[in-house]
Amino acid sequence: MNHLYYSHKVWKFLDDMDSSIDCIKDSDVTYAYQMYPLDKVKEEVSRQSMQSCLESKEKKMNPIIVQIQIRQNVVDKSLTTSWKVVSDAPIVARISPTLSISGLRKVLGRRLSYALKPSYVDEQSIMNQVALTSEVTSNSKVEERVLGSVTYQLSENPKTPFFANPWDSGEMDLVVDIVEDLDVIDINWPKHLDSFLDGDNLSAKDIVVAKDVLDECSLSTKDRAVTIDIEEEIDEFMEEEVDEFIS
Amino acid sequence: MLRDKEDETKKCFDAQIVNIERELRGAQTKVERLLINASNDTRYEEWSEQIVNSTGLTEGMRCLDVAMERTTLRLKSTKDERMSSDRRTDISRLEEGIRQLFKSVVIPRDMKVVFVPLSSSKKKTEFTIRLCKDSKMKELRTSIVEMARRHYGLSKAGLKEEDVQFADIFFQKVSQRSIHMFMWFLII
Repeated sequence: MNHLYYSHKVWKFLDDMDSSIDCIKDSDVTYAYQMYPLDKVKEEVSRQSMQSCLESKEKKMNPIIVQIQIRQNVVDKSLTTSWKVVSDAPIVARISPTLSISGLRKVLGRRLSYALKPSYVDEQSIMNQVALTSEVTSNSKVEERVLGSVTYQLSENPKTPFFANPWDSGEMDLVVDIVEDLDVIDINWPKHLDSFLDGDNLSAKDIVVAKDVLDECSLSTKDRAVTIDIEEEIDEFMEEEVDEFIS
Repeated sequence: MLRDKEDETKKCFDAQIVNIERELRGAQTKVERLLINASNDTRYEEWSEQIVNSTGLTEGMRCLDVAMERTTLRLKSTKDERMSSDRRTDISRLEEGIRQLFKSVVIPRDMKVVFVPLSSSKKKTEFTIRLCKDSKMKELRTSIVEMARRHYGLSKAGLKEEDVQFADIFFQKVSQRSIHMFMWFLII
């Protein structure tokens, strides 16, 4: 399978808040993702560690950030199959160290509910049918790891749909034990569920322009010319003032 | 009788001395004031001392006249100097002002950032904001968070700055993988 979905991943996470905005070029596409609140993650971790003091020492305690993308298997004219990413940008999520695979399915169901149609569809039942995989790069090779009990083969069988059971051992595994920080998780969308996914809604966005930018945009060319003239006049006046003082 | 006359003459002399002393004190104060005005120039201190220490009244008065004349001249030149120095100060202030004016000119940069809310019921929003070109990422985050709060009607607790992650999304960029593939293609 060809990996044609590379152009939709995160190129770089911008974490250094003390760096200049020069690190963002004008041609860059910058996204600001709202993350699951850090306070809640800390609460969950402390609650978990209270419940199992001994276990928690061995487990990872810090949340991780992952990027999640939906991809569909498409067949082109030459009958070769390839992956196509549906959205224009991946979902970036903060994963609590206490989150299990079934918990991740619930989170993803909530996050994608707006992109599912019809609106009354049960997002949880759909998310329980998709195969979740994680890409692991080792020795410049990309390997895939399955998260949970639903494999790609199981999910692609429309006659006998397979639903993930939250009580399966695979579903109870913690995400942080399988996925590393900044890794990519793929939602492999089964063909028979294509009709439920609204790709347009997934990429839809509102546009808001700040007032100061908007004000300048509304200035006509004539107004701009006048503004420039005034500035030039001020410059000339300042020069004259200086000359007068010096003489 | 003679004693009475002597007393009267003495009283008269005393009164005259008091008057002269008063005049002298007045003149001295005036000179001192002028001296202070003349930027406390130390050269005038010796004249002032001469006046104070002089026993002869005529000598004292002459000294005062000289001091007054010189002080007036000095004051005139000082005034001219001060005017020219004031002008110099004004010019340097003006220059500094102009320099500051150019330095403080904010070079704006309009930036587009797509905000992705956590709640699925809220749509993504592309915010266009204006920042100073020298701004830090922290300022960008603050601006975006403020706009997002206003747009989505969120409270400060509802959207904290620490809960916003910036990401540069692949768009018309050449990945390392693509370069490798291109190199292989060239080799083949």
